[in-house]
Amino acid sequence: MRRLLPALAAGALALLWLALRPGPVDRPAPGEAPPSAAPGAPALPPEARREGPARAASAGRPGRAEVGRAVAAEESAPQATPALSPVEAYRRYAVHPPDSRPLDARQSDLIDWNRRHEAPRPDPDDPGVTILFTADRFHVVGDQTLSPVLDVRRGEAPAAVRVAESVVELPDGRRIPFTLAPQGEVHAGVVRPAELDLDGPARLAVRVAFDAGAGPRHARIFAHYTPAAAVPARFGAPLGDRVVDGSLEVAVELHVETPGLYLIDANLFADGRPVAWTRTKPRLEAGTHRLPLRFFGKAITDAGLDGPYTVEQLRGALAAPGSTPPTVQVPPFAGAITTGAHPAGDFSSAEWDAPEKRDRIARLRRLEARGGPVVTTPAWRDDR
Amino acid sequence: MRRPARLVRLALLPLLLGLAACADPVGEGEAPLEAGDPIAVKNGGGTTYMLHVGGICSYSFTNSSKGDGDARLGQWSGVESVNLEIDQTESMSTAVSQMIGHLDTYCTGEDECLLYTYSNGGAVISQALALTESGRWNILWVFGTASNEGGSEISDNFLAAPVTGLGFACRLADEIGPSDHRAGWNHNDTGGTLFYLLAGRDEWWYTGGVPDFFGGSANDGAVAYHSSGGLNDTYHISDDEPWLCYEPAYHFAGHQAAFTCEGRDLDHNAMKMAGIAELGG
Repeated sequence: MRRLLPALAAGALALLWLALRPGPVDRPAPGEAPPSAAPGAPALPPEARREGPARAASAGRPGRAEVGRAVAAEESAPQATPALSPVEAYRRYAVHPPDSRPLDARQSDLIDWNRRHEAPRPDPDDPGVTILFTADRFHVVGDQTLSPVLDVRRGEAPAAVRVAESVVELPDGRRIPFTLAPQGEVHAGVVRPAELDLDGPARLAVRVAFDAGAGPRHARIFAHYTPAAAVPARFGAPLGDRVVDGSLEVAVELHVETPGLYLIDANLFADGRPVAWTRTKPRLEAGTHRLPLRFFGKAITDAGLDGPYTVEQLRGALAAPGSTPPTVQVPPFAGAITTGAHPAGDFSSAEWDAPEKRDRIARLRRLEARGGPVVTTPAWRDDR
Repeated sequence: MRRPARLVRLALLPLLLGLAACADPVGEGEAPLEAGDPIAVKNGGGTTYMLHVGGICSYSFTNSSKGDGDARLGQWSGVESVNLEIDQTESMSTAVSQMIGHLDTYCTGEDECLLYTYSNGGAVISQALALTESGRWNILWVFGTASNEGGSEISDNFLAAPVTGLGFACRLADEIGPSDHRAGWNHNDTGGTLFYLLAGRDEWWYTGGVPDFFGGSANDGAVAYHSSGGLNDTYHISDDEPWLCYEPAYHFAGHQAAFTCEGRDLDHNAMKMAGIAELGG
């Protein structure tokens, strides 16, 4: 608010300046190249900044060239956009079940599932300076550490930064200092939540106060921590794989301490190439369970890749809606599970069919027939 | 066409600031309903409800900490509209817990639901679906206008403090950044319910200009395209690209554009009622 009031006081000047200023509030004309991504922080993980599909395509990244061609075609010859009714849109979606679908390398939220999403931001008073405060993960379990990074730059060059305070703030109000020290072009540190004497899941606030020459600044990020004592379950040994009803079932042990609804996710790859993802949500009592992970047959035949397959990014959590954090993390499965050498032809290429699918289609049809609210969606580009 | 429109917007900015973006524009002469007011009829053996979910710092669709505003519920033949009381001022856990209770009330057995969500309401329903058993509710679809499902940069990082001056003065505003929302739960798990998303691209200068919270990416003043479009990463998107209809692989599963690949040239406040108008309500 303190920064807003001077902006208000300088309103007329600022408005005149904004009206003439090229920048974020000026939109490029159609066909013009989209604006660049925010000023970056080269020393930091590339995940800190994302580009749109068209820019990524123009950069020649693998797997995105077809998007670039689609954009070029659209720009040169605008097409009418066919609209799909809810029934038709759902039928196209429900070729695969909601809990196991094809996996694409662009689904970074499923593959790099624990990454953070902070991005460099200009300093409020000095737009030539960008500030990024981030870390290496969001969920932290047991003995895992959290590595915060502060990267302040003037243009592309690292700016001189004086860190005044770096602390982890706990839900009970305790403020635990940690060291955020120069490391190459950034300030970096390590937080060890296991040393914070927490007996339950906690939302940690990691805060830093610093000065890069434009006055005191404060930044903060949050992370969710599950201490070892609160871990609700642990993965055990793989229990084999088989073809069941045309789909691939891979089983693994789960040792459950805390009963409840579990959220289990995993991805399937063939020779490093993505094939399918799965999610299962069993309600489990305490004890050791055989946990089947089903990868839908058509998702595998769509990829057309033969086994052996590897199950990777196997992770899980106990659902705790109504709590903060809303999940209690299970330590991720270490490594990958390799399946037998199933040819893709062993699996069914049939579309998903289930009572819930037929029920939903029937309900959507009734709604349409009654003249209820009508929503349509344009077809995806690759469906036109 | 763009520049005159922008100049008009700029001329209105002092008013916007003065009002702290408090009003939700709707048609004139339409009295807002009280939370829980039913306004339509039953159908056959069950009832089809349109559940309206408000945004950040709200208590219901029509009542927020910014004031009651002029928001109203949509009205459709054969559909009973409900103004869900969900406290989005304190925490996501409170909001999601209340959402689950409402879904248990309205969306089971012969009854079925449609959801109209605004802003952070899109995140609340997304988390509720991801953290509960599949098939628990009969939800035909979710319509998200200006959805904050992917998190808002104005909640994020060192710029968070000024946000309270922009009308987002509640504790939950601290919890709705991109990392919180994207890493917090699996957005691909909708239980088979399709999300229809309508995005806005009319920026506010105080979030898209000085300073620029969104790094030059298209936004409606409060949420960027990557969030309101259901994209699976914080992609940088130009607002004149027809970005909403790229391949499904760029989106959370089951998330797709409503009506248009380009979104609407409206700001976050105007988006609240835009979807209802487009749905014929």
